[in-house]
Amino acid sequence: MSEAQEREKICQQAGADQDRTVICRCEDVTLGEIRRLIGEGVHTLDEIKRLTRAGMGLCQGRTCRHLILQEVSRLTGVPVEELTLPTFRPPTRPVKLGVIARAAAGARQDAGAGVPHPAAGREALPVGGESRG
Amino acid sequence: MAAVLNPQVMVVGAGPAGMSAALAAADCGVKVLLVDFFSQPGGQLVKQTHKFFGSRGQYAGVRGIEIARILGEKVRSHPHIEMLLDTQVLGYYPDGVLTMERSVDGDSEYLKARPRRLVVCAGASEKPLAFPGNDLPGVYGAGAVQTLMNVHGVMPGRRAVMVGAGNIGLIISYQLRQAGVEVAAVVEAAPVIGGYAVHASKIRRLGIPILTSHSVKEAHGERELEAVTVWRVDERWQGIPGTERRFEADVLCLAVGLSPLAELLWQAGCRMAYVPELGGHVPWHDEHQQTSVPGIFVAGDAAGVEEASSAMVAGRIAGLAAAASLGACPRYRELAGEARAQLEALRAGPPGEKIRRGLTRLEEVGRRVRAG
Amino acid sequence: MFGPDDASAAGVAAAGRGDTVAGTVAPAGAASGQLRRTGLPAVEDLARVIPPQEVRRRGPVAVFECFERIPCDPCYWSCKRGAVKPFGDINDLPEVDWERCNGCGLCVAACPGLAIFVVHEGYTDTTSLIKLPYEFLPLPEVGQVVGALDREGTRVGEARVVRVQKPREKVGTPVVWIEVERDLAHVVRNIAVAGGERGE
Ligand code: SF4
Ligand code: SF4
Repeated sequence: MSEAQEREKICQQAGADQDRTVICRCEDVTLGEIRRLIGEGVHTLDEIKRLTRAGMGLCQGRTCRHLILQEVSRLTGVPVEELTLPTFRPPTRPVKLGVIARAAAGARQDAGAGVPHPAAGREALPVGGESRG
Repeated sequence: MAAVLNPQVMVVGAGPAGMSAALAAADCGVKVLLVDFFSQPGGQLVKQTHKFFGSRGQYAGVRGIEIARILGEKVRSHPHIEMLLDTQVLGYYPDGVLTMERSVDGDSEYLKARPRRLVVCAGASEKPLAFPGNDLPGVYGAGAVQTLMNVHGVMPGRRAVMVGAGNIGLIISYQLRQAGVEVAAVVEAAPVIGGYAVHASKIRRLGIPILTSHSVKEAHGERELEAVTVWRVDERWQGIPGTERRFEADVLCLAVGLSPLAELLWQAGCRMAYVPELGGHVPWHDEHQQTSVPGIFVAGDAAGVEEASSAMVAGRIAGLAAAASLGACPRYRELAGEARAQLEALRAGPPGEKIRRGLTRLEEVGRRVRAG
Repeated sequence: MFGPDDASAAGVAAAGRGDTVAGTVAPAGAASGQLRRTGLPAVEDLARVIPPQEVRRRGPVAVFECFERIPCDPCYWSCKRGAVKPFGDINDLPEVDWERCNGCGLCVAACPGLAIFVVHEGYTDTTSLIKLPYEFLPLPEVGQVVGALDREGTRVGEARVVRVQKPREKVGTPVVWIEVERDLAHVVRNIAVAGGERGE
């Protein structure tokens, strides 16, 4: 059996055991669901995330990301380092809108001069960046 | 509270690396904002009841919880450090602003900071393991078990199976026994024990078997964990049918590795690299602990998972470098040089081999960054 | 139980049980394959650290069961007699100067690996004395008879508690002095205290 065939078989045979194996705890997504999706040709983390919500829960993917990466890598033959991760956007943790709204209401009153962007006017370190000390 | 905080240096995470970074920068006279989501400083140190390795400079022979207290007191009493506890950093925005949510008396407030330099010491998260029944109550990450026992004084169960014979798995097995929890076995997928031999010998003397080349096949239980089946694995980490062993247990503790918490660095656009030796995706950083984005530094597990003693030294380098980049550390070359020598010594032995390999890989990425 | 003239024979007796596998010869300064696989020191590991007979018989002496290069040196700093040779590199294996060591046990309380034991072979005509690190509650009482366990936690006999040294500060490890059957000096490395965590 070729490697590709073997991978296909793993996807097709996803059954009861894989359905008892939870990959994303926050959104309750199982290994079975993920394997079946990969079998259907869904090969990017972003697509898997959008179709299953894996990685969109409370922990924002801290737990499941590795497992999904490994699974996609193993079943598509693409090394992990070549897989594209979904974009990381704030907030890293869920936050209530009211909390932000309250702060925004206060901020309107004292909209003042900000500080320059940290990338602006950065002094270089006293030790050369290129050579290792 | 809507004003934007403007510290010269902001340190995210008050663990061993973050506190060391804050102290190093503050000792240079720089104003530091130190932020942590927990209600007390220390990070993982607050649950480490064992004595640390390393040398005097890194509090060798002192228990982790004691190191947390010592560093915590230094941080609290430092005139240049402001510490915000119970504060979760939510994000980094392109204008250099970080947003935070701080819990106060059951309510929360939204804060912003725009530091001139940022040091990320956010630590790491635990890696999970996929096996049937892995969502049964009773299946824990090792860190959670340690928090339950050593922070909250709660016994996680009566009888445990530990997965992972790295230092974390070995140390927590020992602590489970100290708490009065029986440990049925430690299983380790690799053919050799990953943690220090002295830790392994220590738990063998307690009568705890260590099964190398073994992994979890399945967790059993109706409503909660009742038993665990483990089996031998081959060189490709595949289970070998017929080698199953079943252990009655109400706790299954997973200590299969950590992965850097680098969300903020992703958001800030820092160059990341996949380096399994360092725990997964890690931010590229140079010998000043500076990432590919000038002004953003990283240390501790967030920079690549390793021992807390190294984290303290790397944190110190990051803090010094952040201060130096603001022109506040005239002795930078000398102080950072000393710290770097310590770091190299800590990584020089056989246990540091993996870290050295990981850093070499990271350096290759760095060359590409500079070339590109 | 073992030929008292031969340190490696002591090791055989100590290590040659249970799931012990014949160890391969490890290069100097490296732990044996057996230790890496099982957590149990092999014969050749122990042979390197068990002092010669005349030293073992003379009085209490430290046995450092620390076989792997790790970044650690509190044993050096804790010894007030200069009996632990200075570390060139923090990863060096500890080396004891038998002539200087008086078996005081300061290093036993300091070692984060709980890897040091003080042994006085022939404490009396029929017994040996062992000082071992013990981090469980309750601590045994002086005079109490406790189970004597080997490196695998298997009960190999009984031990009488001679002294219990509590650490001065929270950081140290309690050190329990026990008297065991003379030939068990290099076999017993733990105790089982009735009512303690480790019932049989
Ligand atoms: S037993 Fe005492 S004298 Fe001997 S090495 Fe240990 S501390 Fe030094
Ligand atoms: S203190 Fe203990 S673990 Fe550390 S080097 Fe000395 S004997 Fe080994």
